[in-house]
Amino acid sequence: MSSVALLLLVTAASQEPRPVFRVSTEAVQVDVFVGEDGRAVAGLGTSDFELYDDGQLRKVDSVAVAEVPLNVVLVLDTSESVEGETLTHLRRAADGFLSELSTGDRAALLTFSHHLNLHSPLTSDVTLLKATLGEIEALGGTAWHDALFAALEMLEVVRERPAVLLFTDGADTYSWLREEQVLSLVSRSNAVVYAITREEKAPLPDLGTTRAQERFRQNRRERIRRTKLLLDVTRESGGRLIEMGDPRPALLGDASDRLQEIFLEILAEMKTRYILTYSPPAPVRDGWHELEVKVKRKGVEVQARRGYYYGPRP
Amino acid sequence: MALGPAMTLTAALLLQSHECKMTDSASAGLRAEFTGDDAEYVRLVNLYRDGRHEEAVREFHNLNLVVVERLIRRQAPGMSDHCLQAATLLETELAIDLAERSRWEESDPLFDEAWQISFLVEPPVNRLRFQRNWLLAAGLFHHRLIFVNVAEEAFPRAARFLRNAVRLYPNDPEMLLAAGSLLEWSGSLRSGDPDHLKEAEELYARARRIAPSDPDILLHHGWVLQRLGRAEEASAPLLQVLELRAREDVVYRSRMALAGMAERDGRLTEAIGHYEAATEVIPSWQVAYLALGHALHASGSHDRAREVLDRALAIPMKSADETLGGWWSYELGIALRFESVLERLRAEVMR
Repeated sequence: MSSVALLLLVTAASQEPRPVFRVSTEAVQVDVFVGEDGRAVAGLGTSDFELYDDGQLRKVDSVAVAEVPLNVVLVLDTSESVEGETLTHLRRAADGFLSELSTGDRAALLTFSHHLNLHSPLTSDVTLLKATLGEIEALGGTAWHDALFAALEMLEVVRERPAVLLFTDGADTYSWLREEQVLSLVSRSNAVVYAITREEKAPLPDLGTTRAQERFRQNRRERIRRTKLLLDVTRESGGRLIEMGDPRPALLGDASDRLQEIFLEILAEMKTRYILTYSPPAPVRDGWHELEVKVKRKGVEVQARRGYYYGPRP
Repeated sequence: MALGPAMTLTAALLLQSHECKMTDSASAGLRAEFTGDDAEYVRLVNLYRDGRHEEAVREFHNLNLVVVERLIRRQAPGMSDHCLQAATLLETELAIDLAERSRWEESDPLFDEAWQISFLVEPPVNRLRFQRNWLLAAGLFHHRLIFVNVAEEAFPRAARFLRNAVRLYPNDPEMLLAAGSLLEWSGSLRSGDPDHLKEAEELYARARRIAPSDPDILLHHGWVLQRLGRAEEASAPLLQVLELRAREDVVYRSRMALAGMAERDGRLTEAIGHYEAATEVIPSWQVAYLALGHALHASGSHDRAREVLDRALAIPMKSADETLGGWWSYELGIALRFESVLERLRAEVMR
């Protein structure tokens, strides 16, 4: 199933960060990934896309790819459960991600446990960002709902390719924000959210006692709930959820060494997303607009946001 | 202090200072049956009363416990009130030590034995007071254990002790609060029993009738009513907390609960007011700023939302770490009181 991503933007010179539309100055930007057999499809132009706003076909005015810089917030789980080898792999993966950023790209580093810790706001200073990775330590509970809110809020003022890369290995235990609030925030944000979490399909390990097995099953059920929310969040935003094997060596073998590879895969995908721009005819109706993006080519997968809100928020 | 009570206290202290002996109420026949283990047991009880708790418990672990069984069956020479209380605590602390290492098969019988020894305490008024605190300590201890990842084992034990405590002391607000808090925790879990939440509410309601101005009880009652979806009833106890001289964390929690209910109800201005007040009560707790930022965001005040978020993110980790226990103290219920209840019990048997 494709996920979806869209970016709304006011093309007027206004400094208002929200996508408040004004007649004749408004444009909508839709952030789209097109893949085929797991690889990005390059070289597409305006005539390759079909864009439907509330079921109405709209003309795509322009398509941009590499020339639009990236603004990504790395939102990393540093709760107690990532302590040890996973944290080492996480630091290395983030370091590798930052090394591959292009000139003009910006990144921020936000870690979370029970506490949110902004190590660096959005900056293109990769050296500074890398230095902050050394500050990370693992302890406490997990508050990824609140952390994602903080990241989306930071990206509210960003016009160019706002994105979040979220890593979490546990169920949320500490956030104030509830699941439905997180989903609502994502649907109203311009940012594309990519998430990495543990794979929950691995076979049940032999844990000896019945109680231990039951505890494992309960934990797994909780994690499956978390995975479902992450899936909804990423799909809503047009991003993608990547599940990997349990990163805790004691349980299912260490899969966190794949983190670097996954981080780089996500970065490559972020960089190859198309930014479609179109102008909806005035007057634009207030409220939720459903979007659908198609590519006139067989066998391709399209990830784009499912819709956008226009006007005052409900 | 009146002369009478002063003399009673002095007499009690004098009695308490005595060394424990197993001869206090022993018949000549029983005295004759004294073994080396009996003497060793009495030595450890005295060691415990001297405040050398760990040492006494460690040595007690290696002792032949036939003497304890005989004591419970009243086939051993009796000991004085404080010595029997100390014997109960010695048994209890060994049980605690084992339970902390998940050795439930060993700890459970020791808790039972300790409870049985406590029935030997005389006079009844002393026994009732001592047993009340003992049950509370045993319940709170297991309640606290839930949070070290042994919830499946610790919860039923905590519930057994605290439900018994409520049966024996049905009008004791602290017992009602402790049992309610445990059941509220269980009932609030996604996989928990929703009936526990209702049971907790009933216990809090009873506690509130007995102690209508206890801020902890008011907070918990408001919070659980809110979780049960009875927002209209929840507001009254939470608002009452704000009028009392309550601890900061209790006021903070009440504000957060009131704000959360208002936010869910679409009353954003009211929610924002409570969140702001919470940030002022404890400025070093991050969560109120995040909640405030979200409410401002939802109300369309984006600049203020970002400003508040900046303040939240400026709070250093060290501070949040220090206050983590405070914030989580609600989830921990009053289990955190275990140490003080145990200390109280220990203090009463010191010589």
